[in-house]
Amino acid sequence: MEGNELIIGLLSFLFTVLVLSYIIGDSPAFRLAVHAFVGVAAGYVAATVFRQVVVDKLLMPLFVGSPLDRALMVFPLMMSILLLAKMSPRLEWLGRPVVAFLVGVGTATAVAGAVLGTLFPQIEASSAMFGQGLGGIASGAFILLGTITTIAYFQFTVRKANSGQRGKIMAFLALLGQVFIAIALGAIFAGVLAAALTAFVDRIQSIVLFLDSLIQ
Amino acid sequence: MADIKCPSCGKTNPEELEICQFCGTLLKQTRTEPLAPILPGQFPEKKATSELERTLPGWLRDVRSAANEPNTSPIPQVKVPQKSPPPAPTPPPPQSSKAPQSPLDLLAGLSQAAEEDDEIPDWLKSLQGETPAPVAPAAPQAEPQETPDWLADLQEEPAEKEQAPQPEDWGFSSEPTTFNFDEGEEPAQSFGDTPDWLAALDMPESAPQQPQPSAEEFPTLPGADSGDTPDWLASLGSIGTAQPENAPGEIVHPESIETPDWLSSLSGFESPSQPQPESAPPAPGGDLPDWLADLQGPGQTPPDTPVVETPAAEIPSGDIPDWMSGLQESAPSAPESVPSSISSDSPLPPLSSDLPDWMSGLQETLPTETETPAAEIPSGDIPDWMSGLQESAPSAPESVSSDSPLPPLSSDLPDWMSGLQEPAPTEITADEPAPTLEIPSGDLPDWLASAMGEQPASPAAPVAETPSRPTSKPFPTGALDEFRILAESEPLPDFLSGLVPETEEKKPEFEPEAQPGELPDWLAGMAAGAAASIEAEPILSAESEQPIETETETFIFPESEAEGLPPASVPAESKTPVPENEGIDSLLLDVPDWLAGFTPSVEAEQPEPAAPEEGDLRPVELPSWVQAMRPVESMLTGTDSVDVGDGEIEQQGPLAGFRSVLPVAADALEIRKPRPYALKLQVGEAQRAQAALLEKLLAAETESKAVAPPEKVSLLRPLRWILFAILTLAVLLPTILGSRVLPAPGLSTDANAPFNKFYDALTNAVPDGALVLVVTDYQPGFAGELEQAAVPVVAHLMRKNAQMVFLSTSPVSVEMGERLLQKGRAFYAKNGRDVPTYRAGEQYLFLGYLPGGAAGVKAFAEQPQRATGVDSLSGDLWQTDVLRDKITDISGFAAVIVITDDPDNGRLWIEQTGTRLGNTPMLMVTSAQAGPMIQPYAASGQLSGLVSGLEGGALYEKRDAQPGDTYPGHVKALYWDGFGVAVIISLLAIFFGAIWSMVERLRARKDEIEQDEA
Repeated sequence: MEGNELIIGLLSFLFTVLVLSYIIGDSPAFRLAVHAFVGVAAGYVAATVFRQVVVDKLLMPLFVGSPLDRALMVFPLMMSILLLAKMSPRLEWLGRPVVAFLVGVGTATAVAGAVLGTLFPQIEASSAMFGQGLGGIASGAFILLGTITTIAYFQFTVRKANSGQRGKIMAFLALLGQVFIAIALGAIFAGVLAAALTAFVDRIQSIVLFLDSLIQ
Repeated sequence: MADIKCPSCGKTNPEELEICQFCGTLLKQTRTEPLAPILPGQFPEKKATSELERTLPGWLRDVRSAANEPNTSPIPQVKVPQKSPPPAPTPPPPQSSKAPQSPLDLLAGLSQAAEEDDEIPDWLKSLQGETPAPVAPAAPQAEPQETPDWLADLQEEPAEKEQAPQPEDWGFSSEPTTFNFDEGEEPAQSFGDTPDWLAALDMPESAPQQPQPSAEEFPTLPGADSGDTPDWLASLGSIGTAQPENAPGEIVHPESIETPDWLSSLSGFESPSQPQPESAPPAPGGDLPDWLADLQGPGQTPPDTPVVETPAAEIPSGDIPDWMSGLQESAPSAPESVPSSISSDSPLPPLSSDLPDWMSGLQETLPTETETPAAEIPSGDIPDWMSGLQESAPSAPESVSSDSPLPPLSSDLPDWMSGLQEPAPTEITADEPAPTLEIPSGDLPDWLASAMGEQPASPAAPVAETPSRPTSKPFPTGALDEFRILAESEPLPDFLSGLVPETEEKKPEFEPEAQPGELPDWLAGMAAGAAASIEAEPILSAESEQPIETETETFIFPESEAEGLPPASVPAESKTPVPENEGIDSLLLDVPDWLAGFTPSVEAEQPEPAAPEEGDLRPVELPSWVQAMRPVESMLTGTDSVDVGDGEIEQQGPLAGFRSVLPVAADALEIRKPRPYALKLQVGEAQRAQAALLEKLLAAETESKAVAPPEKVSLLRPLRWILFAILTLAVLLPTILGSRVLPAPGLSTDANAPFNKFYDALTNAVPDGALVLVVTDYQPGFAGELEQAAVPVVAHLMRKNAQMVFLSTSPVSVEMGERLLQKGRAFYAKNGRDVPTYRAGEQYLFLGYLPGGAAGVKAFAEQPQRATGVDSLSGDLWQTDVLRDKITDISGFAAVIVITDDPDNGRLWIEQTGTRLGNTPMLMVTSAQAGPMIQPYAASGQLSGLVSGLEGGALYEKRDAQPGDTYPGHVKALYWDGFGVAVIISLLAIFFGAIWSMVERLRARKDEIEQDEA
């Protein structure tokens, strides 16, 4: 094993053990591992963002790019500087337009994507199932039922005036929605469990291999 | 010269001194000093007149002093010298010389007020013929007088004969009052002189030869220099006209004194038709009682006679009191009943024209009436004894023993007086008693009738010594002691109380025999005095003379300056006849104002004034003159008692001292200061309690409820450790043992299965050497799973010799592609296959980090070169062989494989690149936790394939196994058994844990039910 691989292996083994020490309880070893991971990650991110965003996408075009690139970089540059004003309470108002731009663009993109990329295609796909025979109808109906009941479960505004409770229909639908929600959450939990076990297996596997490599 | 008594040290000082020579106190208060204010609830205190002198305003004092200058004597007081013979009647001064009548005259006597206040009005006192003394302090009388002063004066010797009668004496005219029986009659004598009629009465004792006064003449009252003296009084004075030059005690019968006819007729005077203005008063005849005979003497008051405090009242002219009218009846019949104190030589002062009704009744025809001890004499009614005089007068001519016939009586005279006209008066000698009138017994008052009837049998020694007088009554009269009876039954007003004999200890030496018609004490005293005078007793000195003492209390003179005021002058003699039907009531009603202001001091304890309430008004300080005007109960009722049964006495307010004040509302007179209210909110106890409760409720809303800590499970940590150990062994053992027990998952035969679609798309859609975009958007923590799932895919792409462009939207996953490539090479090496060489920049490159989230992805989808930019270290990657002129948009890639552990990232790529992909398949390798969330997209066709988790990797390795591969793959080889066991153990743990939890819950519920039932 190469030296790099040895160090990497050793650190990997060490941090793995430190993290797995949490089974005993919150210990300084666990905190060390957590702090190390957070720190390394923050540093790596900072370095990556600075190089690949600030330098590659802002500074390089300003200094090395064409005039058109430079002209186009003026606006982002100003916005970046104004965004830096958010750090000062007196000047934070300067970054408000930038933040508003960013929030607006992001929201628009997200909403558009959600509507065009998820809502419409999903509705189209669900409705298309009703044309695929009985199976499709059943599937579609089932999906439709699940969708409606799940949405009904999250409907809290319609309440009776005196008792403050839902009506019977809405209560039944909400109950079915709870079932679908529970099934979905169960599936998600299973996936999470599987992922966690897989990660656990991987870690155990890595420890074994490291030790095996050391032995060998 | 009268001395002034110092108010401070009490020593006498000469009159001219203004400052006491002993102590330096001002003798003459020139400055007005009002009395101390009377607070509500207090009662006026008894004050001496001398103390009130300085309360008079200065202008009043000045007027008084100016008026007194010619005649320095104050208001003539009716004095009753004990042993002074009646002075000779003095001629009345002319009217023009009379001092102007002024109400101020009434106050003349204040400055010379004696210590003992004399409540008898001065006009009444003047009837005694007292000569008002000059401005001199009233000397205390040596002996109390039983008889009224006005009668006592009749017996006084004119000690101060040289003193002229005061022209102005408290309203009484100095002229003798006449009844206007005859025109041109001389005015009555002054007030200070013995009235003529009284003097005439004494003439039979002292001077039987005294001329009879005219019928119209009446004795003058002292001070009646205004000529208002009723004629009847003037005539009385003429009968016993005051002769100052006469020795005291002598009965002088000056002929010059005009006696009223009616009075002269009492003593045997001339007939009324024979006016004798200058004639001496007729000598009292034998028919006149002794007391009347005594009245005939001059009644001149000695100069030193102390002046009574009480100012004289203005007796309306022509008003002869009834009791005076009765004198005409009883004069000839009861001479022994004349009080000894009466000075015959002191003429009675002429009555003013405003004689009270009781005096005016003397001119009226009074009905015959026996003894009538009435409480008050009805107004307008002449007592019977007075009325009897008129009736019996004509029938008893022989009772008139005066030398001069009685003056002709007018038709208005009472009957008893009219009877006086008939008999021819006999000369009245000095030794003879006062002429008597024969008055019908039925008309005479009892006292007069008895006196006339028992004239010869009088028990009094002085009376016995008096010359015999006819005892028969010409007409029935009332009892002479009517007043005494009156006083005994009901208290008389103060000014009349002097007419009533005083207490027992003050009774005269002799007491007339008690009879129904018993003479009043004052008359009895006169009789005694007459007897004494007959005995030639020395005339009492001026100092011994005392003002008539009354039983009543002293009055508080109204606040006015008494100094210097001329004595009140008797109003001028009125020619009009005495109004009829005027009795004591009229006398009472005619109480002058100055007399109404007398408020006797209350000796009883005054109740303390009510403490002012919190916030009440300050007590009002009444001026002194108002205080003096405030009536006192004792004045009205003659008693000192304040506490009465029939009505409460007001304790406070302006009506303090009054009785039976109408009650007012309880809160009407309460003047309180508004209670100050605080600005603070006034809350009660109940409100405070409710506010506190509300605050508690509001505070409870904001307080976080204490959450009960969950029950700590004692096996929770060991259970964790056990599970960890089991799982670790389950994973470790297969790994160490390299077991491959658990079978790989089975491949689905459904072509539309996402895994199958992914593999088919990657196999069919991506040609060899195609450019594939691989997006590594997973966290390094999920690298163990995702790498196991993605390595077979990458190995498949490497076998296809596809060019891979790695991109990441996460800054920490930029280099994850390198790991994927590395593990792919190992996979192939395990299987002994040739591993293709993938060099960076030739077969693969890394575009780096794609910022901007969804916007960045969208931007990359549209313009990948502008979205990724130029690498500062690598340069422009888009100009490399891998990417040069191949990619314009995302659809330029043969496939887009997104490896992500977050379903949101997967959705993001699907949503943002869906419209731009076109035919480029979107493949996604996700974690097992994101698989369910991304699968709808795969089912909807938005994803061309989906590989999810370690199972997907295992499947993909199984599906991509090549023939001759001995290594099944890392998943199968290293992870699957461990994963499988771990999953089984986990599932079992979950299952058994759920069962355990369910059992526990059921048991807890059962326990709750049992507890509830219990």
